[in-house]
Amino acid sequence: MSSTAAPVIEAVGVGKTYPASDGRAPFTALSGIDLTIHPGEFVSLIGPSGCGKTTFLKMVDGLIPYDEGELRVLGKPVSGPGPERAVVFQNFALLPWLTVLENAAFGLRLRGVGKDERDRVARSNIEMAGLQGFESAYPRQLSGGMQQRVGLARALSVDPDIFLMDEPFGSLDAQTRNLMQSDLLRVWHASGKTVVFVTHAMDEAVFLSDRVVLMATRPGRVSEIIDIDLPRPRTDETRTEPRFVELTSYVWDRLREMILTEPQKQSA
Amino acid sequence: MDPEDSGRHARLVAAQVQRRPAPSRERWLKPVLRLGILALLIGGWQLIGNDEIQLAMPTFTRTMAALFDMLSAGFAEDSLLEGLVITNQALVGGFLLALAVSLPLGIAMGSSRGVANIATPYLTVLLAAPMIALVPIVQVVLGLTLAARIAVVFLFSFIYMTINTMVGVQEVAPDLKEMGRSFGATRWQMLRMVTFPAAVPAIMAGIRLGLGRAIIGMIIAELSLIGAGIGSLILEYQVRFQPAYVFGIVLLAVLEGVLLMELARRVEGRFARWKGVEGVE
Repeated sequence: MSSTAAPVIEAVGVGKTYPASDGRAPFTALSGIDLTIHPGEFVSLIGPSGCGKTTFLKMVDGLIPYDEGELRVLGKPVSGPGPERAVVFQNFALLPWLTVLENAAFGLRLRGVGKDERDRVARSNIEMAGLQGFESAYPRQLSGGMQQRVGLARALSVDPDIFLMDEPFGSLDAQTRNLMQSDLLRVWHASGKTVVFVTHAMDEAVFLSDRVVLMATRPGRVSEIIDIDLPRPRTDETRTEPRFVELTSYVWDRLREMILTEPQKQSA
Repeated sequence: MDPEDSGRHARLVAAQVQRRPAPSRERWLKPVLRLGILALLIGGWQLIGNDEIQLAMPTFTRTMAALFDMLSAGFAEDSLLEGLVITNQALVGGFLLALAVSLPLGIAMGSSRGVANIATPYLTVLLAAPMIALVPIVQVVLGLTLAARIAVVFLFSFIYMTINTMVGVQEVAPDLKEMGRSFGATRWQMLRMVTFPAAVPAIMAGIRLGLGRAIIGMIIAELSLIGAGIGSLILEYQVRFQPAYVFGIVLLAVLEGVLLMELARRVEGRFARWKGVEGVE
C-alpha cells in the first residue's frame, strides 16, 4: 500500500528564530531541519542541551510555531495540536486533583467522549501501561515512574498515530528507567504506532530506536542520522551485546566531539 | 499482580500518605496548651473585672449572666438573636456580592495581562485606602440602609478575594496548560478543567481572608451606620450603663467570627487536599 509508505512526519528546512527583544540579539533556535519519519518507526532525537530537540518535538505537536521551511504530519502542514498526535511530557504534567483513571481519560474527556466509554478505554490503557490497581490513586501518591505510566496511559487513550515523547524518563532513576524502556517497547510493538523520542541518554536512544537523530547546537540542526541495526525484540540482553556497546560509544564519541569543539558558550 | 491485591495496595499507599500521625506528645500538648491559655485569659478577666459597681468593667461571670439573659429572650423583637440575624444579613449579602464580583474579575485579571493592567491601579488604591474612611462616603450615598451595610462588607472583603484569585490563576503551572493545549482543550475547557481547579486552593485561601475581612466590615458597618442589628443594641445598653450586656454582645460577635473562620479553614483544607496541604493548623 502506498498510503502506509507515505511519511508520517516530514520536515523540510524547518527553522525557528526568536526575534531580538530586551536588548538581546535574535536567536536562531533551529535551522534547516530535514527529517522524514515513516509509519511505525521509533526515532530518537539526541544532542547537547540547547540543540532544540525539545523545541522541534513541540513544533511537531503544534505547540510552538515554526517560521521557516515546511513541516507536515500525515501530509498536512502543522498549524496546531491535533488528535493524531499525543505528547508524553518530561515532568508528567498530570492534573494533581484528578485520580489516575481521570488523568488517563483526560484527553478523551476533552473530546467529549462519554464517561463510561472513556473510563473503559482509560482502564485498558492503564493496564497496558502496567498500573492496574492504581486507578483511584492520586498522582502525588505515586512514584515518578508510576506517574509517567499515567502519562503514557493518557497518550495511549486518545489512540494517536504518533507518540511524541519529551525526555519522558529523564527524571527517573536508572533501574526504573530500564524497566520503563522495556515496557515502552512492549507497548510500541503492540500498537505499531510511530514514536519520536527526545532524550539525552545515549544508551536509551540506542536501545529504543530504529534511528537516532544526532543534533548539534547554534543553530540547532541535524548533524547525523544513525541507523540502529540491532535486532528486535530488544531485551535486557541487548544491552550487553557488542553491537549495542559499539553503537552507544559511537553516539557518545559524536556528542563528545560536539561538546568539546563548541565555542565557549554564553550559557544556554 | 492480582488486580484486587494491587488495588488494596494502592489504597494502603493512599492511607499512608494521607494520614501521617503527629508524634503522640505533640498531639495532646497542643490542645492542652490552647485550653490552658484560654483558662488563663478568662481567669485574668475575672480578676480584673469588678461587679461591685455596675458601671465598672464586668467580670467574666457577670458578662456570661448578661449574655444568657439576652439569649433567653429568644428571637423576640429587639432581642439579641434577632439583632444578630439582622446584622448577618449584611454579612451574607455583602460577602456573596463580593464573591460574585471577585471570582470573574480575578479570573479575568489572571488570564489577561490587559485586564490586569487596567484593574490593578484601582485595586491598589482600595487596598491602600483605610476602609473605615470610606464608610462616611457610603453613608452619604446609600444612607442608613441595609444596602449601605452590604456595601461596606463588600468593600472590606472583595479586594483580597480578587487578588488571590488573580494570583492563583496566574500561577497555574505552565506545563499543565501546555498539556491541555496539546490534548486539544478549547479556551473554555482549559479554564474549567485546568486553570480553575489548579487555582482553587489559592482562591479558597482568598475566600477565607475575605470572610475575615467581611466580618470586620460587618461589625464596623453595624457600629458606624447604626443598623437595626447588634449595633443599635450595643448603643442602647451603653446608654443604659449596662457594660456587662455590651461585653456579652461583643463576645457573641467574636465567637461567631471565630466559628466562621474555623469553618472556612476546614473548607479550604478540603479543597487543597490534593496539594498535600491540610490547611494551616
